[in-house]
Formats: sequence, C-alpha cells, structure tokens
Amino acid sequence: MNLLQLENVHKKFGDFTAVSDISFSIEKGSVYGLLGPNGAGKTTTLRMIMDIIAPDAGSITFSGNRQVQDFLDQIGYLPEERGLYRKMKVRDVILFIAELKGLHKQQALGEIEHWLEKMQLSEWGNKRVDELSKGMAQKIQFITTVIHKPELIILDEPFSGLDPINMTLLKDLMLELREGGSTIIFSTHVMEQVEKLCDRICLIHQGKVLLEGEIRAVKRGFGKNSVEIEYIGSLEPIRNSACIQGINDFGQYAEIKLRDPEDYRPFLQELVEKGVDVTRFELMEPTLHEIFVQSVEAHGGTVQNAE
Amino acid sequence: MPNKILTVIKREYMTRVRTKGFVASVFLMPMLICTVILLPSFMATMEKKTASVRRLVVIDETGDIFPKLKASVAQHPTLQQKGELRYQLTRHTSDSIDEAKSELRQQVATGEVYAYLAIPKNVFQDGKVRYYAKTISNVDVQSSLRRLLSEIVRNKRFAESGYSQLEVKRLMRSVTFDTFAITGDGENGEVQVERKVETSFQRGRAFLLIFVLYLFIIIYANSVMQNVLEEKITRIVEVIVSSIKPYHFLFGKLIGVCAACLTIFAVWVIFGAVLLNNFNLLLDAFGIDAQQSLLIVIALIKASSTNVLIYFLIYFICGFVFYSTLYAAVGAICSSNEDAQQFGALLAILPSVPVVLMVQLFKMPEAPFAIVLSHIPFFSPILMFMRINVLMPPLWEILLNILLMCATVLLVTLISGKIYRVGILMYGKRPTLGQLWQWARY
Repeated sequence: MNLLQLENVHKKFGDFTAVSDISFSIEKGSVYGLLGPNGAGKTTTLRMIMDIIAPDAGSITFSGNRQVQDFLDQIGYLPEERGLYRKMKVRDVILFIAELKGLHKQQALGEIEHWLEKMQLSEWGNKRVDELSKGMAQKIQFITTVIHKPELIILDEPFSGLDPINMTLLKDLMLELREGGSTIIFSTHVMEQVEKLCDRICLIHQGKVLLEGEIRAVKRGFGKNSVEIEYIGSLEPIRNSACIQGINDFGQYAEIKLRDPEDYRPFLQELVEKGVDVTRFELMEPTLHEIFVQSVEAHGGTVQNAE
Repeated sequence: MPNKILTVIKREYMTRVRTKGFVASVFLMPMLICTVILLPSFMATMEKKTASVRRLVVIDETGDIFPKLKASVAQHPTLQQKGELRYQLTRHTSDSIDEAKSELRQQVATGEVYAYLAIPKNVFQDGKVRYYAKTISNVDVQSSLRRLLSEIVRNKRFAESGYSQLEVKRLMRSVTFDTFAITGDGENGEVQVERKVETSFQRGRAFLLIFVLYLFIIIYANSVMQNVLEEKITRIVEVIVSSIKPYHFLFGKLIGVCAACLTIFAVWVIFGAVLLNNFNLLLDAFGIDAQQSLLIVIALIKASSTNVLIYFLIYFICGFVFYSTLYAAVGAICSSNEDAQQFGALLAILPSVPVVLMVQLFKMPEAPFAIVLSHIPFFSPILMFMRINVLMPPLWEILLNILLMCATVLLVTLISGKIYRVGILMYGKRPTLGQLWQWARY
C-alpha cells in the first residue's frame, strides 16, 4: 500500500523551474531516498509534500487519498535548516512540539525521558537550547521529529553536519524506526548511507527525475560495466584496449571501467590472448556514487559536492 | 485543533511571564507610582522629624520689627513642629547691617547659624529684606518668613497712614475663580457639575493611562514582531506550520502575549485596590502625614476608576490585536533584525501621532479634527480613550468606534494573516508592494 503519492508535480519560482513533472510513490514501511546534487529540487519537493509551498500543478496525496492537512499529526518533518527556540529549555521545547503534534502532556513527558536517555542527553534536559553544541541540537531536533511516533518521517539532509559516530547512530535509529513500522523518506547526497538504508531511490537533477526505483533494480539496470581483477606481473599489454574506458591500477589489483557492459567477454579474451596472468576476474555492480555521478554528468551537469 | 492553539497560548504566555523584564514591569511600576505619590508627603514628614533647632539671626535696623516677627514665627505651622520651635529667632546684638554681616556670614558658613535676615532701616519704603543662608532652596521657609514680614511691614504702613487695615483689606479683595465642568451624564440624564479638582485629576489620570496604553501596545506588538522573526530566522516555523495551521498559530500567539499583558494589568489593579483600601494603614506604617491633596486624589480614584479601567481594557485589547497583527506581518516579511527594526520604527509612527498631538487635543477635545482622527482605526485606541477621559463622548459614538475598531481588526487580521502565512516561509529578498498584494489575496 502506498503511503505517499506524488503525481506530475511542477513548481516554478518566477522563471526558474525548481521541480518539473516529478512522480513517485512510497510504500508503507519502506525507506525512500531522494538523491540529487545541490539545487536539484529535493528540498522544494519535500516542502511541497509538507504543504509549506504549494505546487503549481500535480497532486500529492497520502494514504487513503488524504490531503496533507488531514495527515499532519502522522508526519514527522525535519527541515533542512535546523532551528529551535534558542531561549527555551530542552525539555520544554520538545514538549511544546510534541503537544503541537497532538501528544498529551503525560505521554509526551515519558517519551521525552526515553528519547533523551537514548540520545545520551538526559543531563542536558534542563539546559537552554543555545547552550547545546550543534550536534546535540541536531539530536534534539531529531527527537522532536519522531517523538509522536509518526507514520511518515520526512528528513531533509539528516546527515549533514554530523560526525561519523552520530551518522551511524542516526542510521541505526532510522532502521529501528522502520522496524517499528514507520515509513521514511529522506534527501541526501551522501551515497554511502543511501546504499545501506534505502529500499528505493529517486535521483533528481535540475528538477527532473533521472532514475527511480528499487535500489537493486536501479543498479542492475545501470549494468555491470566495472571489472575488478587481480593479476601477477604487468597490465601494460592491455592498457590501450578498445574496451577500456578508465583504469585504476593498484599494482596487483585494478578496477577497470568498460566502455560497454557487454564488453566484458571480449575484454577477458583479450587478457588471456595478451598473456596477462589473471588470478581473479569479477564483474562489479556500480556503486550508487558512480551511478549518481554518471547520470548527472550524462545530463550535462557536474557534481561538485558528492562526498 | 483547539488543543494545539492552547499549547501555543501556553508557550507564548509562559516564555513571557518568566522573563526578568516581565517581573520588573509587574513590580517596579507600582512601586514607582507609589513612590511618586507618597514621596512628597514622606519627605515632608522626614524633614519635620529630623529637624533640630535652627537658629535664625535677625539684624533689625528698624528696631521695631523683631519682637513682632518672633511672635508670629512662634505660631507659624511651617516654622514649628509639635510645639517645639524649629526656627529660633535671635536678634543680633548690633543693629547695623554693616557691622554685623562679616561675623554672621562666618557663622552661617560654619553652620552655627542657619540663616540671617538683614532688615534695613528703609524697609517700610522700598520693602527689601535680604536673606542669607547656605541652603537657599528652602522655599517653604523663605516664603513663610516673607509673608510674616510683609504682614508686619504692611501693618506699620497702615498705622502711619491712618487707614484702617481691615477696611483696606475689604476694599482690596480680589476676585477668585472657581472652575466647574458641566456634563450631561448624571443620573436620569441630569446635568452634572464637577469641581475643578476633579477635571485636573482626570487629566493627570488620562496622561498616565494613555502613556501606559501606548507603551504597552508598542512594546508588546514589537515583541510579537521579534518573536515572529526569530521563528522565521531559526526556521522552527517550518516545523510549526507542519503541525498547526499558520492562522491558528498566529491566533494563539496573539492571545498568549495579550494574556501576559493583561496579567500585568491585573496585578496592578489588584495591587492598587488593596493599596487604596488600606491607604491609612500604609501611611501609619511609614509614619507619614498625608498631604490634603493626596487624600482628595485617593478619594477620587476610589470613586471614579472602574469605568475608565473597563474602557482601558477594551481599547488596549483592540489596539494590541490591531498593531500586533500588523507587526507580525512585518516580522514575516523581513529576513533580518535590521530590516524588521526599520519597518517596526516606521509602523510605530502611527500610534505615536495621537500621543504627539495629545496636549493640543486635550485643549479642544470637541474639535472636529479630534473627533475625525479618533475614528481612524490607526489612532482610535489612544485617541478615543483620551476623549473618554477628558470629555466623555456620547455613548453611540463610543459604540460606533468600538464596532469600527473590531471590523478593522478583523480585516487587518485577515490580510496580515495571509501575508504572514506566505512571508514566514519566504527567504531572501524583501517583497515588493505588488508581491505583498498578491500574498494578501493568496
């Protein structure tokens, strides 16, 4: 069953087309990744889902054909730009947002303790928000996003600004929430996390969908045009082979990118014919990073910020 | 939904009530007013208590005046306290001003003598007496002495000229003016006459209340603007509008802030009522002898303040909602503190207009100019309240005015609410007027 469905959504800001004809749907209980370089239209898409800005055309519906206004309490939204009331105490600010989300006070108070403990922030509960470090404030904001056990969790760039430890913590939490039945959609350009987390992805660039689908299918569809080989001796004989697009040689081991996924047979033959002593030959699935860079570059873009 | 509005109200109210500024305005203001009211009486009492005997030396070149002056001073209420002579007159051994002055000046400088009076021979002709002291700001004492001396000198002149003093006094009596205000709102529509003390009391009260009204509208409307801007800059507003409708949020915010203001007023009114009803206890506790004028003012406040307070509340709520929705829209349009402060200052001109014109308008509360201005919603809260204080307008005019205010508040809330709804999520360049118009129709 689809929890969220976008159909032919368009958004223009003046003459600038931010989002053009985006459609996708998210299955209940899945993790959905919205990928794209900076300025691709990810945040605009998420804001339209939240009805913070209205789409020019197209429809956005929630489970059972409901509009967002009837579904608000079932959504947890972490905006791209984080912010909390700086002068309020941590517990008060979480309680305020929890109550805004329809939680009763008693219920909320219990949840707050549970979450603060989980995030190892219990002793910070009575401090003011502006006394927290940036990382701590991010964790608090994450708590405010999920405290009301929302069906749908929308995270805009959740990993930005986190250190590796907190990134892992966040990733584990997201998986835990999915286990608990939540559906998650998040935007990012950190591909490493996407591969581990997502069931489906949508790659957008300049407001358009380049790729959409189950992560394995996307990879498969992209073809295995990379080969990993281990060898003894030298690769010199095949270095100028017509099949090779790029080569990354480590001495006894090399990653080779082929011009065409189908080239691996002639390439293997060539290796044998030219007498290279190959001890291992393996077709590699492309990494999402490669897919991301290639897709974007294929559409005339450059990726400046794909960590 | 109403639960969520309640949550917003609670937050707005609590965050304001917990600030130091709030506590200060709750307690400092009444203390300040108390001090202003009680200080003159208090000072007077203190002075009387601490006073020791002060020596006044008189050089009397006429040789005639001193005994009479000493007798009058002994009976004068300002110059003596509880039977104990505060100002003790002694005559200088020498009757020549030139001879005595250097010695006396020395004594005044060391504090041995409080002051000395030089009464020259020709005082009956040119009426000039010199008063020398370290402190010459003690106007009370000087004028008392001056009056006593004049009396003595005058009597002497009468005696010499052969006129009867009483006769002359009778002939020279000047006219006095008693001022009355006539209003048509007595019981059963009868004409009512008020004494002047009451109208000048009303004027003072009007100044004070208008000042408070203006200050609170400006300060708290500004604080709404700051608050909206903070929510916009910290982007918490994105979380909020994804939980509650922006209108509901703004509504809750205004109620919360308004409630905080009303709390302050409530504390003041309760404090004031308790104080007024136990005023004598307070005076006794501090051992203050109340001045007569103070007692009259207190009686007046007790008698006539309920109506004024009700009007105050009505016009405060109208003015607050009106201006704070405007300010909220300004906060939503701007993206930085500097921007907002500029716009806020511009907007603050509007409620300032009647305050600037107040003195003029006080003189002519019935002028068509004043009446027309008082029905323009921007000025209504302050100007109409002023008219009510100075010269009660007919009831139909007040009702019409309140109705007009409510209608405008509704309209402004709708338009500002829409601008707020769009502006709060727009960043970067400030919108043009055309864009604002579009937002308002969104």
